[in-house]
Amino acid sequence: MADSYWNRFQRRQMSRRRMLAATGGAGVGLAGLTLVGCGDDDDDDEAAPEETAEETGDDTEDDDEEAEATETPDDVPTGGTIRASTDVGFDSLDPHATVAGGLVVLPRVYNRLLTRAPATTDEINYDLATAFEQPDDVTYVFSLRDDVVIAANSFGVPERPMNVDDIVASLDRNKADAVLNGHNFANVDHASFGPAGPNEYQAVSSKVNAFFVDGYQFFHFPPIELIEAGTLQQEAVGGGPFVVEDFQEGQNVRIVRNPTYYVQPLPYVDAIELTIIPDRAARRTAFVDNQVDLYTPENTEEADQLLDQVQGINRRREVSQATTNVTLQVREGPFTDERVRRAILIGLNRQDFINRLEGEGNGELDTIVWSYFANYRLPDDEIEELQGYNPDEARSLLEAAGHGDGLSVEFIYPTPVSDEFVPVLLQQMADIGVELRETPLDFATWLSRYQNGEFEFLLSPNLSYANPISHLAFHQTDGPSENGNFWSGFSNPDVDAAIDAIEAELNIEAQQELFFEAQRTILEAAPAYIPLFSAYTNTLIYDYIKGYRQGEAPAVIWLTEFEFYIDR
Amino acid sequence: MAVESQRLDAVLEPARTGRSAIRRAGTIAAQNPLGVLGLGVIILFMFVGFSAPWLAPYGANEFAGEATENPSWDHPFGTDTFGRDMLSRIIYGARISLAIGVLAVVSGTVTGTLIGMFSAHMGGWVDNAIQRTVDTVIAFPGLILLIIIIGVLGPSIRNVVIVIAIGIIPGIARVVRGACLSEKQNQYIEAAHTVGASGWRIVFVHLLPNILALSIVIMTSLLAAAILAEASLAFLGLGVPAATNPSWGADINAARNNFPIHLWWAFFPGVAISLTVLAFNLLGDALRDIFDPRLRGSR
Amino acid sequence: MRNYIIRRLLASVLILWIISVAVFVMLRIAPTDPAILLLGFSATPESIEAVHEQTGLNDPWHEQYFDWLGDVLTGDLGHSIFTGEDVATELKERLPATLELVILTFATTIIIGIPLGVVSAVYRNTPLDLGVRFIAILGLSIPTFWIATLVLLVPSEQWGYAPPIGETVSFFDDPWDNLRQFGPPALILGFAAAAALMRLVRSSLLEVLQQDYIRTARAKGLRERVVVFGHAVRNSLIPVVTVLGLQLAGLLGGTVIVETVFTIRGVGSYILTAIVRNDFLVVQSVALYLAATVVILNLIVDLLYAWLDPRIRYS
Repeated sequence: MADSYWNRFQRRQMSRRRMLAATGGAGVGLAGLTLVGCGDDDDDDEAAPEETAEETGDDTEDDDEEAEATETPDDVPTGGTIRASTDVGFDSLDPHATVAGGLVVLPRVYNRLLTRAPATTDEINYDLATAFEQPDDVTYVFSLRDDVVIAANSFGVPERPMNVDDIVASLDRNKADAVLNGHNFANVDHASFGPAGPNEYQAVSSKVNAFFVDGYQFFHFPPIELIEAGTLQQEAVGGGPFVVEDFQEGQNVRIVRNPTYYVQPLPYVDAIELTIIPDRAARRTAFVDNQVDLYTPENTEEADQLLDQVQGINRRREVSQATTNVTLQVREGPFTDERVRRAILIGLNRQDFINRLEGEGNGELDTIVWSYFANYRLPDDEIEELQGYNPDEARSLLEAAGHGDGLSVEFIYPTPVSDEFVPVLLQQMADIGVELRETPLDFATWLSRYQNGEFEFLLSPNLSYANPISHLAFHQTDGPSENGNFWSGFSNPDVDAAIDAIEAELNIEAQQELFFEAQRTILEAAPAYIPLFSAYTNTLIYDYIKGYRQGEAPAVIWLTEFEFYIDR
Repeated sequence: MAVESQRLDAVLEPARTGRSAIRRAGTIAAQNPLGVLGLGVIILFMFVGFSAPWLAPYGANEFAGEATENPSWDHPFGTDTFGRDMLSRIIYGARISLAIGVLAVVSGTVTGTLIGMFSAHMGGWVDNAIQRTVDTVIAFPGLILLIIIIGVLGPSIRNVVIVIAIGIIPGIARVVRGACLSEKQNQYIEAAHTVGASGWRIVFVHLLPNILALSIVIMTSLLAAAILAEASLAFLGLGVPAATNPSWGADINAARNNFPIHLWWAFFPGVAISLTVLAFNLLGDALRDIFDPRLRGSR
Repeated sequence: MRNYIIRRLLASVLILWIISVAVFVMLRIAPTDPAILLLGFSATPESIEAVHEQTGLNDPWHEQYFDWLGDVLTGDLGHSIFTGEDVATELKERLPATLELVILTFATTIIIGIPLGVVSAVYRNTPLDLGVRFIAILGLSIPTFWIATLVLLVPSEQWGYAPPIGETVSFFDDPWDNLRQFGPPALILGFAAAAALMRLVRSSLLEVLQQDYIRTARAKGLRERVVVFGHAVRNSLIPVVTVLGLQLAGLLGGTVIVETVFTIRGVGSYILTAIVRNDFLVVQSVALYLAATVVILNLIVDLLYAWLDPRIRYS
């Protein structure tokens, strides 16, 4: 179980860091960040459905808003610069330790072995690898492409094909350094890794794990020369579709087309410029003034308003990959009683949250696997049955548990990141007779208390992961990473067994059924980790940008698609 | 330092002369209409703050209406995204803004006064050390000092008060020390010494009341600065936790995100804060004028 | 004079030393650990330990302090825990923007503040004086971030005009865009600062106007305009200039908010970001740097003043 956790782990870390950078950069628009800023800007790349040339040829662009959607690649106009803005800083180009916005850039510069399309985890897009085989349940042998050539650069890296040594060097680097993102993946999840022949790479999982390969989709491989030079923070070149032309920490980055990208004629645009604009009002203004080509509004209401106000823009609207959740402490205190946990579970009015924070119809109710993974989330009728809002029953449960006179618990949350959830939460809990003693904490203090389990009732924003198993991991013994960090104290042998069964099941249909089963088991055990809802995120894009996909993945994700083009 | 001691005389004079003080006050008021206006607004806001539970039509955190309503009879200042009544929030906000301002300024001034008096009284290397420390804090760019300390302490109402107070202490300490030194040379202090009064007795019985008057003048202007500082911290995301505290600064900050759509939500807290700060500035300005001897002859 | 200079120099060094200790200790007693923010949710006892080890946060305080101080004295301001970026390089890149903002603000302050102060003094206690003072104080009372937001948003939403946002434009690359970017924030800051200056000019001028030589000039039958502008204004500005010097130093810290709203990449936004992240090494170095700037400016002002007014030196 722990083995495959790396990818979830890494994902979460990146999201967190981005959120931190966001709070640091701005101090404004923070309320928005909790829900939209982080939810969208963050997770995008992580779950980026990258397509290689083969798929582009299939014409997967399903832009219903655009007449040109049926264009064949041959007709696609080339050139131009896409100007994007982000609210979070990118501070380093180091792909193994990057914080924040670097993630928007790096997938375009470096290569990965492969990626999996997020919502349908059985679809694999290959990059450095052309295929992989499993001689046994724990061994993965990747055949490597030999035509991924490192782009021309000024860093002294030869323009040679990427090879298995580059891959091993990155794994070695992460294994050696506990601070790097991939440390656990290289060190714990792998039994071994190394070359398996000319142009073949072999990784051995330390146990049977259906999600082992997922760890590789966020693992970028810089050339071994850069790793040895120790300059990864400032220098970046690889065999990806773009090359870093200019990088100014904390301000902007400009990446230009790699003319020798192995998937020709991609990319269609000459360059992407990403500028950090921490202030929401400034970001909006830059978009309205057409200084940037896209903007992620605070919520659907602002998106609607801008669609009215600004001519020639389109909207992309997706369900967020992130959620906000309540976590209850079950090592001691009132929530050790299953009835009290269930009272919270059904005393939370998720629809009310959506209505008040997003506007009616602008979000979906969450359950154990939240809405982004629609295929794995329990159907609505089951959600209603197992966790439907029922304040009366919540009150009787509390009364039965001996809290008929009311229950008072300490409630911690990070401020200002989660501020906007708090008034609604306080109200809903008061309605069922639970008094939350509000204790706002700065992010670092909050995080440290969360990590060490020092809380009674906790609100946690914006977690987002690339596969649904990570959603379940919060309910297993010893917490999401099975080392006691960020653990509510919840432990149930049936739940643990249900989660383990999913990991051991390599058949995708059977696995899906196990996901439903596990969620029922968790809900029946009255979980300590309770997701609230997933908002819809909007991205507004000027209509001269075309070729991105609609409705498949969270907002800014299109930045990791390479088939977009500019047609004025 | 001659200036300060003369100001003190001016402050003390009306109090000593009994009935004519009222007439004098009337004259001063007539000469300072802006100051009177400021005082009026301050009194109004203080009243509003004190009687918030009776004045406010709704609770500060009560979901009283639909989200982001425009002003109407039910909600004269509109509502925020949660449907909370903005008029009620501004009324309750008067409490928080004024309370933070007053607490910070009073504690900062008291501490600063004590430090200044201590410094002047001790003299020698103690005085020198204190003054160098004071120079140090003053040397620091104001808002940056505040954000460093709040970054270290973490966000809470108490910490916002502490931070603003820390920003106030050195300036007060320096002025008070100067005033003390010049007061010390006054004859009545010398007289007290001759009579055999102890050093600290002189400080508290003779110096303190005089210095206090000076401090009050300065405090008025500082209140304006303190309320602005609170709002600025809120803007930078380092102020009072905004989830349930109806602080004006925090409300503007929250509204900024939706501002282009919901003008009213941001408008009224902005007006409230500007008005309050303006009032304290006007009053402070008038007081400064009244007690600035250089200007007295010109009237 | 030489003794005075030496005394003041020593005092300045002492102040900077106190600041370095104060900032250092304050950040070390902060309850938050930068390693946790750096690692986020992947924080484990081991990885936290590794970060501490790599960044030297495990060393005893006094060692950390003297290492840092030694580096600073040799011009090495250290590296960010988060980005590895060299603080001195970053400061060098960001300083021009903040400096330009300060200079433009300063110019605005003078251009608005002095004439208003003169008008207010000459027409003292008239409706004109009241009006000028009211407007000036109003400018001082409106929250900077509020008015800055309005200045950014209203033209863009209503009339489709916006200054360049995002990339900080250098004056030497594109003077026009640079002014479009720096002008509005400088005006906003300058207007607020002008109120204080106006008040100062007003009282200083009123004082001068009562001096004997002015009475003499009036008695000689000189026209009022000549009296005021020929004699009084010039003399009244001497104390004003000293205070302006100090204000210039204060402005260095006042740019944080406008840098944030107008997306200007300056020193203010640098330290703000570092503070929120608990990026200790950046905060302590930049804070010391800012303090040094202010202390040096104060020193220059003091020395100038002493040079102008010999009585100071011996007091």
